[in-house]
Parts: sequence; C-alpha cells; structure tokens
Amino acid sequence: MAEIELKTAPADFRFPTTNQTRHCFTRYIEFHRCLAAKGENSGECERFAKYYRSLCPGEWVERWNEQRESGTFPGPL
Amino acid sequence: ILCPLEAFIVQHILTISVMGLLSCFRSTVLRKCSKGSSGMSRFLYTNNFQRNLISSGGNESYYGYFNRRSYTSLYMGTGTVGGITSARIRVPNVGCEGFMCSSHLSITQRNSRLIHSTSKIVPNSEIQNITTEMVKTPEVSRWMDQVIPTIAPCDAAEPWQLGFQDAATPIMQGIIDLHHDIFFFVIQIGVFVSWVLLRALWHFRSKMNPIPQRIVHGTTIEILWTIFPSVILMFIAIPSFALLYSMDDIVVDPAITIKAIGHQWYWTYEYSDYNNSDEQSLAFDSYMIPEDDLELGQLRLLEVDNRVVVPAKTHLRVIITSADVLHSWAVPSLGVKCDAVPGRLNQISTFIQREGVYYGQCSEICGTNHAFMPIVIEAVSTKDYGSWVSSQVN
Repeated sequence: MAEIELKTAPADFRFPTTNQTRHCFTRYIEFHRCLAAKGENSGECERFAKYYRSLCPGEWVERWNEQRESGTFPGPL
Repeated sequence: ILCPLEAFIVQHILTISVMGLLSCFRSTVLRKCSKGSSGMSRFLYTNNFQRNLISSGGNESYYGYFNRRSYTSLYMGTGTVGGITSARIRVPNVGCEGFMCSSHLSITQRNSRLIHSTSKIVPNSEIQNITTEMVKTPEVSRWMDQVIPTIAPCDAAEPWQLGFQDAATPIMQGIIDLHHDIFFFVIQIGVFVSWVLLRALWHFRSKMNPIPQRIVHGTTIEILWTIFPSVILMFIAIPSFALLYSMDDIVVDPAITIKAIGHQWYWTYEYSDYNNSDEQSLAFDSYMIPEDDLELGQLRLLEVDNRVVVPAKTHLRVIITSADVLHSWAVPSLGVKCDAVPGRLNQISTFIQREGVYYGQCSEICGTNHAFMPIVIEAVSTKDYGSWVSSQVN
C-alpha cells in the first residue's frame, strides 16, 4: 500500500481571484511546454503534470488531449 | 473479454465493503468498458422521465422516477458493467443517527458557544461496532441510545429551523458573529425609528394641530441625521469588509484539491492529487438516496450514496464547475456557497475545524430535480482520510 501524501497544486499569485479557469489552462500549457523542452522521458515535468491534474476536470483534460492529437488545440504549446 | 472478469472482481469488492465509502473507481479498463453504457443508461433515464412527464401532464412523482432508477440499477447490477458502476451499497449511515443526536448536540454547542465539538469522536472501527450493536437492539432502546452523543455530530437543518446551523469553519463563525452584530444595530434602529414615527403621529395629529406646521428646513437636524447614520454604517461596514476579504485566503497553500462538477441532477467529485496519469482518476457520482430507500435515522432529501470525504483541520481547495447548466455548491455549516458555471472553474478555500458530517444542497435553480441533488461532506481525521484514499486508489 503506497503512502498517501497530502500535497496538491500550490496557490498561484498570477490567479488570486475565485476564477481559476486560466490557472488550470496555464498549468496544462506549462506541462506540455516542459515536455517539448526536456523530452518525454524526463522526470522533471511530472511536477507540472501533478499541478494540472489537480486543477483541471477530467473531461477538460480529455478534450484537450484530443485537440492536441488532432492539432486543433488553441493554446500556445 | 476482460469486461466480465473485471465486473466480477469489482462486484466482489463491492459486496465485501461494509463502511459504504467505496465509490465507483474507474480504472483505465473499467472506464473504457463502462463509459458508454453508463452514458446510455443515463440518457435512457432522462428520456424516459421526460416522456413520462409529458404523458402524465406534469403530475409525475419524483420518487417514482427515482424508484425506477433504483430498480433498474439493481437489475443491471446482476451482470453488466454499466450497472456496477452505478450500484449503491445500502449500509447504515454512520454519521447521523437521528434528530435526537442533532438536537442534543446543537443545544450543547449553542449553550457553550464553542466551535470545537465537545462530543467524543469514536474511531471508524468502533463506529462499525456501535452501528452493528444498534441494529440488534429493540426499537425503544435504539431511540434511547441515540440521545447519547457517542458518534460524530451531524450538521443538518432541524425541522423549522430559523437560525444558522452550527459553525464548522472560522468563516461560518465569522458570518454568525457578523449577523449578531448587525442585528443589534438593526433592532436599535428599528426601535428608534418606530418611536420617532409613532411620536410624530401622536403629537402632530389633526385634533391637536388643526393648522399644520410649515417647517421647511432645520440645519441642526440635517447635520444630526447625516452624521449619525454614517457612523452607524461605518460600524457595520468595517467588520463586514474585514470578513469579506478574509474569505479570500489565497495566501495559504491548500493540502487537498477537490473538484465538484454539477450535472442534472447529481454532483460528481474528483480527487486528482493522487493520479499518476490522465486516465487514472478517483472520481465518483453523488446521487440522492430516494425516500423509499432511507434507513432509520437518515435525513430525507439530504442523504447521498457517495459522500465527499475530507480531513479535518486541513486547508482544502474546492474547485466548482458544471457540465450542463448553472448549479450552486452550498454547505451552510461550512459557510460556503459558490456557483457552478459551465466552462468556468470557481475556487473556494475552507478549513474544517471539527470532524462530522455536513449537509448542503444545490442552491441555484437547475431544472426539475433541483431539490434532489444534495451535498454531504464527511470530515474525518487525517489518518482515516489516508485509509479512505488508499482503499479508493488501490
């Protein structure tokens, strides 16, 4: 049984208001920029993956993954 | 080919579960197998319900609809994977054992005015033993046992309750205190204005004053009734603004993030801090338990089949959104109410100070069954929360 660590995405001062939509979007973009810069096998990007998984609903991530595969993702990757 | 085996394993695990905190764990395989059938079954439910609603001219009973769903769920649970993902285990409600307990604890807490609960918190294993023992006792002594506060207090509205529910967070305690402060001013102003009005009506009545006075201006009274209301408003606004800005405690890093997604007409909760991939997800749906399926002591229109389990004395972040129409995620004991807007993530921070079970309801009109999508939060100790997450993830 793996040990459960109580840790989640930290608060970001770029998004201090109640609206966290851009926070989720930005974390997702940061993760994929990190992958593009450091490569798929690098372990340094796992931290960013944890962040966007904590903040983004599963359906959103699923839709964004499909858009990335088809090349229609609107964000600056 | 793997679907029946997975279904059998999951069904076996569900049968073994006693505490009832097991939720619909969707692994990669199960998600691909069960996603279509779950969606199809929900579509059929909604379509069937709407068809019946039209045919019966709007006199359809909501409980009939829920009963039909329960029956279908039990039927589907025998063999198909879709039914298993929506199966519900009927276990005793370990958090709330009747109104007597709630009333007793509420009176105790109101008299002592303590935020921290004075009742004895029993660990989960003992809760199970107590529940098992209570089932064996006869009807009369069972009700007598429920007076003793030996389990976590339950926070739900009492019948015809007018005041606030007991506070479980500093924000709610601040809201209650602010209400008391402002009510003091409201009573004073109401009495004073009523006195002035009645005195004017009495002293300036036509019998004593046949010729009305022609007062058009008074410098002194103008100054007085401008300065004094300003001072009163300042005494009201300063604590109000202090509380309002203290609710935005963005400076504290939370330990847990929970996502509440509103649907017509249920809530979906996601815990994604423990995922290692995008497909893995600790997510479950939270449906209201129909009135016909309630156990003794459970609350009508408030119980759900899967509760939100959070640790007490821990900073939480709840991200609220919706998948179809506007909802509102509101739990009075925690002092939170936040709109669920589709396409937008709203964040609230909370810090639950005592272990217990807290009830809320959707607070934005969202359709026919707006009244039948409650919210139940169970605050447990950190160790119990770790056990719960381990049982869900693995």
